[in-house]
Amino acid sequence: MLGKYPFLTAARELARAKGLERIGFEDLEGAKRRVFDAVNRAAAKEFPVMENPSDESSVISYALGRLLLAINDSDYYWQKFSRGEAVLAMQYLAREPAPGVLKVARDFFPSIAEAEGGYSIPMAEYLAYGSQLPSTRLSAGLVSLTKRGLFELLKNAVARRAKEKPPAVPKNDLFKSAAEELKASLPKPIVVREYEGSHLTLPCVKAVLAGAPEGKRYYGSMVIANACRTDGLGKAAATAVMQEFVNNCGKQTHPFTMREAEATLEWVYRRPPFFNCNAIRQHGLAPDECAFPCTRDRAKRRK
Amino acid sequence: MTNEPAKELFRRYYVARTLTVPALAQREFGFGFESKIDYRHKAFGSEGEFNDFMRREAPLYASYSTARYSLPAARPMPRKGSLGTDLVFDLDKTYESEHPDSHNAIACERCLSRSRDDALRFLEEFLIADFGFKKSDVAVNFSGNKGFHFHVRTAAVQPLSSLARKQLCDYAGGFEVSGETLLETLGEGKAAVLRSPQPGDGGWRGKFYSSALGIAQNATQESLQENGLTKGKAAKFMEQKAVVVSAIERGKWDYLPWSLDFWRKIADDTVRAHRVELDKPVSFDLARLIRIPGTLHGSSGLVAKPVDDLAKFEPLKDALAFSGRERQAVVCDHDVSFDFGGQTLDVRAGVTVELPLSASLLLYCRGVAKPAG
Ligand SMILES: [Zn+2]
Repeated sequence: MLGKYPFLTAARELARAKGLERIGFEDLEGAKRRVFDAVNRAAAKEFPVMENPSDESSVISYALGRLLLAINDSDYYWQKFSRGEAVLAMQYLAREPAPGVLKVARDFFPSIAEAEGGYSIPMAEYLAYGSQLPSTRLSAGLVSLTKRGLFELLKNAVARRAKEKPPAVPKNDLFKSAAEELKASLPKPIVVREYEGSHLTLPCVKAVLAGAPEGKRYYGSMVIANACRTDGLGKAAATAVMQEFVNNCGKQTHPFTMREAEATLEWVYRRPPFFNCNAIRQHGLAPDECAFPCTRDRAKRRK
Repeated sequence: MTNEPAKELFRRYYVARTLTVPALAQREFGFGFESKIDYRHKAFGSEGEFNDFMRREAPLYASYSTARYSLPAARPMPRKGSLGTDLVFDLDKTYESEHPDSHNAIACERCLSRSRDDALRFLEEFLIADFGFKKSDVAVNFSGNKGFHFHVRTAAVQPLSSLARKQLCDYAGGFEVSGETLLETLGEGKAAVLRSPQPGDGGWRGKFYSSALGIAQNATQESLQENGLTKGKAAKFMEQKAVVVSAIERGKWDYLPWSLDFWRKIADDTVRAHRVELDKPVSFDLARLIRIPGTLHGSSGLVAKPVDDLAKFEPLKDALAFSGRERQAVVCDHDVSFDFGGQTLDVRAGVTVELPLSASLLLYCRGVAKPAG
């Protein structure tokens, strides 16, 4: 099972048993190949999957691959690698009989149980990997999930675990040169050159600023806060913009309060700037003429 | 400038009792004499040391960290070494806008009773029913001023991330939950499927299910029209009422296809009626300080009192710092009138009056009175 799911806790024992001092050229080659495949797989729709990968080689390549990534320390590759590993795991899980799925799930959610129509997970365990609590079925501290819901959650969980940075990084030349070779072989990062004008003047943001319907205002306040943050506005200036949004929502029957809006600002301003106009569209808040990708305003290039 | 008359009474209060703080030696403390927190990063080795400090300094505001640390006084923050963080919720909403004409800025019983009702609903509907905490896991505390604090100190919540805590607030706030998400049409045309609440569902789906079923069971021509149906549609609904009710009991919402929009509106109303608006940063900020249970609040002189029976709790009677018959003479700088401890107190500007000690303290803390003489 560890061959297919080398991120499981039990795999750590196997990796430790091998020991860093016994790592050789072949092992590092395998690790480089694994990272290369995962990074490229992140975007692929179809890819070959080995039927029965060997436990040891898979666990070692996964563990060493993560060490090589840690030496290079690029968030871009960590992101791609973790997504690629999650995609691979989901391919195996899709063919896994129910007891196997449960075994993998239990590694992340120790108290998961089969329930009518799917599975149930204690809320605190769900919160360690899930991020959609408000839209889950939650009762008496148990989150109920359909099989599909569990798979979505597991995909997140596998990716999140794959990008947890290892506590220590080997510093010897063998590893360093392998890490350099790996970096040279990987596709160059695609850097989205962000729109350089004001995000607050984008048509989608302006549409949100004009007021959002009930049930969408919280997300709307996120859009405004992120636009202010990305534009580099100070907290006071952002608060003034948010007040405008709140006033515009207030024109409808049930107002959105400034207090709630300020909590959103507080949350967004504690985090790095982030702006995604695709999400605005998915929430149905962008005007029809605003098409994603917003090619007029964004450009991609390889660094 | 420190509020000396208030400070004097605060000192008397602290001298007369010994406060206990859970895991005291692992908490960071912060105190305020002029603002809510003038300084923080303070730690105490024992309850004796802490109580001595309170009696000596009599701070107007006393807070402690929701987190426990191995080195609580260390700076900067990462050096403290977090050992976990209590899960804390703060309900401090103001209700003034609901009764602008009768709101009382000195002490408002209506605001406090609205706050208590919301607190009770948050405790029963969310903390216990949905989040699954046992009643004994949740320590409820009057904040000492406008609202209530909820502390969960179980082992399971200690490692929760900031995002996890924010999700719990978002859940209680009903964010992104609406008629459209509770009765969601997936796909289009003939392939369209309605994803809808079913009998036995919990959480927001359950809240909507029971409120909608109640509305259907008790429907009258008038109630349906009040809820937004036209006269004609309400009449059609009434003709089919028994069948509609039995369809909903089987989880079928579109027996009358045109009624879906009606049910979506009912769902929106349900979310609005049940949602609880929390002060989210108090929950998601892992380095937050919060009022220490049992201490006095510098803006009111009321006790941040642990509450056993929320339904019966009346802050202006049950959270008084001094309950004896002692009175103190005060002079107000303008006319005030307020209900306090079961009586209405009227004080004219410039006129010396003797008030119960806790009422005098309230006026000092509100900055509208001085001791007479
Ligand atoms: Zn009031």
